Amino acid sequence: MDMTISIPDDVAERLERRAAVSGQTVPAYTAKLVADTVSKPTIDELLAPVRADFAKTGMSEDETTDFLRGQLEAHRREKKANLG
Amino acid sequence: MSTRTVYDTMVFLQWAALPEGRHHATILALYDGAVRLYVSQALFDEVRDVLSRPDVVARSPNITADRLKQVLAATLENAEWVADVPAAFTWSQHPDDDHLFNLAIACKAELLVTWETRILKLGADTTPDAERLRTLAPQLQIATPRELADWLATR
Repeated sequence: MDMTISIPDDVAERLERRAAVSGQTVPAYTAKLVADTVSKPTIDELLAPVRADFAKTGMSEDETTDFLRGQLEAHRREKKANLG
Repeated sequence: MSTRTVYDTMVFLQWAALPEGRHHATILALYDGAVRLYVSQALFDEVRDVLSRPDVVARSPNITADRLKQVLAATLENAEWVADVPAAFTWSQHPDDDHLFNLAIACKAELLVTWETRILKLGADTTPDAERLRTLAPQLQIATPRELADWLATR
């Protein structure tokens, strides 16, 4: 697919410099950058199975938040005890 | 222009456990560049350690060391790593939160995003600790994720 996009002049200049350093044309270098970016899972995609697990627990959002806060406080207490 | 921002530990913990779209304006803000997030080793260690606790993993078998590593790496791709976080500030009542404030001071954050009432109240307190924080980070505002979402909606 061919696409045309607008980018600020300063970004274009940096893109041209980086493409030159990598020995690629600007379109080829840009296409690789975009492909690399969209092939990586997002934070939401990575966390989707974890969120599904928590949904299965039947805890409400407030209960889940209280649970996490309790775990954070327990972690901090244990860390302090280990240091002391 | 991106707002220099620090998220507190609970924000990251909620990313993992609450349904998509609920409190995750904080993730959207990262991807659309509305905020420039600053993170540190102490913050990432705390997030990873809490999410690795047996009681947490018992509720979510999908929390694995590899997944956590990927989540933190994906976060870091959209954030700035602060390697040197001097211990400039301590909050005598809640020293466990010091690493967040010190990160905010080190990166000259304009915004600290948190759900914690004690931290939100500190922003308006007149205690010596609150005054000292204002001296060390005069530009710092403290807001909830919901306030961040409201702000994003008006941009």
